[in-house]
Amino acid sequence: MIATTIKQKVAQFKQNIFTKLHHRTLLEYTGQPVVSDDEIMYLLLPFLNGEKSNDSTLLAAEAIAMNMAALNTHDLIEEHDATSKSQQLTVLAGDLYSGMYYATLAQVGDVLLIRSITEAVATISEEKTKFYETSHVQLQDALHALEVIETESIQKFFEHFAFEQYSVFARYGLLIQRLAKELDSCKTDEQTRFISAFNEDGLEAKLRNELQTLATTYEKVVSTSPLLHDDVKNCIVSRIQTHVNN
Amino acid sequence: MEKMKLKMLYADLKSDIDVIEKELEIAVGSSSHFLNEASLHLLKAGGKRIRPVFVLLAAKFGQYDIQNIKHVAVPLELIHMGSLVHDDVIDNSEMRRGRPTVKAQFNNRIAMYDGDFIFAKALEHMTYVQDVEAHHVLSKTMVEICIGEIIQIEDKRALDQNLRDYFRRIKRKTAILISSSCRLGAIAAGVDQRTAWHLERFGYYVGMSFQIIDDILDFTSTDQKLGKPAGSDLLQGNVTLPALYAKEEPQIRPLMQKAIDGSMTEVERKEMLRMMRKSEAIRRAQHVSDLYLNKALKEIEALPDHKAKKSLKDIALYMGKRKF
Repeated sequence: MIATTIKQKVAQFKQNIFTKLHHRTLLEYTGQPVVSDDEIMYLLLPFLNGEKSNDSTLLAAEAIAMNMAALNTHDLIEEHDATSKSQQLTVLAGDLYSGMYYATLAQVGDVLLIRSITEAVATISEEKTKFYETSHVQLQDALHALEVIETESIQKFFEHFAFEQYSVFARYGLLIQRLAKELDSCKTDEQTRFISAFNEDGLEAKLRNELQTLATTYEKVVSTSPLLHDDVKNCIVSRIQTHVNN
Repeated sequence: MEKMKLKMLYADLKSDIDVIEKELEIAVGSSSHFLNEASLHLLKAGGKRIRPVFVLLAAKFGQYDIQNIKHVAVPLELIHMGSLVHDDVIDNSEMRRGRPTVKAQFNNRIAMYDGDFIFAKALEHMTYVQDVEAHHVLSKTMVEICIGEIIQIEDKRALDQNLRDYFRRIKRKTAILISSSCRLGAIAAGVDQRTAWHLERFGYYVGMSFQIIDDILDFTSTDQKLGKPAGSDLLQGNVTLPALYAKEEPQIRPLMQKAIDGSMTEVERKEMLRMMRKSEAIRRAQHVSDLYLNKALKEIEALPDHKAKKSLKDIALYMGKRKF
């Protein structure tokens, strides 16, 4: 599968999720559901790499994407003022997407999968909250928390369908994506909760350094992987470079 | 006092309600101090636990085993709790049940995560139920409730809406969760399809009646009893059934418009309430609530003989005639 085809498949899957989550008013006030190309790419990685899929696995993957959209949407709520119509509807958009992921999992009919994913959501919510519980966190602890926040649902999905060998890619890839985003915020003095939790000087340099180290290690993991096909490797490497060079 | 009366109505279920209370407390336990504190705080504030009561009573018509039934009663109450946490963000509410809301105690973001956490725990608990139909019912309920809330925001501050808009809103906002509580109780106890259908319809009608009464009380009750200024629904832009009837009365309509626009003074609020209370609007809304209540009672008649029928009837009558 060439890189363009991978991009097309990701775009097609994303469009399908947008269609299923479509709501006229939400689209007008909150925009499309928030789910990134990287999140979709890593979610679909086993299938993009040639693993067999069926109606159930694909439907389950759709549910995971909806779940990611739900949780990402609630991250957009302002800490102290959510009184505008768009913020009120953002709360409800996240709730609606939550209902939709559950309805989709119910359609799959696999109760154990529902349990796995809901456990992931509880864990993610806990990890997000922990950023508010201490005034100062250590970088390595924070990175671990971010990894959980970004990948827990996908990892549970992989475990359930015996695709665990792909977990390592999602862990590195989505952590790099998140760190690149935090670095951008740092550069523009935008206070995210992650940045506020450090409360120290020189964070931008530390983040840049961490991002570079992770990217180098990850490129090595990808290029030496006997599991991934070359076109998938190229696609991943290209995504890493986009994040590091931005 | 009124809550005590309600609790007396389901005194027979007390030991089972206690089982559910304990399960609720275990379910919201978290490794995060904030989530633990926020969820327990909400749980300890109490509530009528009306949804679990309907689950238990519906289950009485089948193979009643609290150890099975609790697995649908707990998720329903948790979903209600999670919705309240998120609703307080939407409504910017500082107090609930006489205590600071999660958003007031922490911030909006923590309230979002707490609500998400509670929803997740609800669904996790629900996975003890193997019957996929139960998951279809609950997920559809969650989606419908959200759509109802979105419609409520769409309809906000629009005085010229019709009765149909109002009914479709309260159906999703309130009636569906009570109706689903009955249906899920029936599923968990293996109640036959026909009985389950009557129970579900009963829940729907009671829910509609209950919400209309709630909307009437917002105008007729006191600030003290409500724990917020009477007329708050209209002040927040929510046009309810009494308001839809009252807008036809030329002397009240201008005041209502002011309430919706946010330009109402305290003197005008009191004047609006005085006029509303003696208007036909309240009586007409009460009449509609009674129609739903009677339909609920008819559904009870269609149920097989069981002493739970009396409890359902008593609770329905209480909810349809309550004064708080």
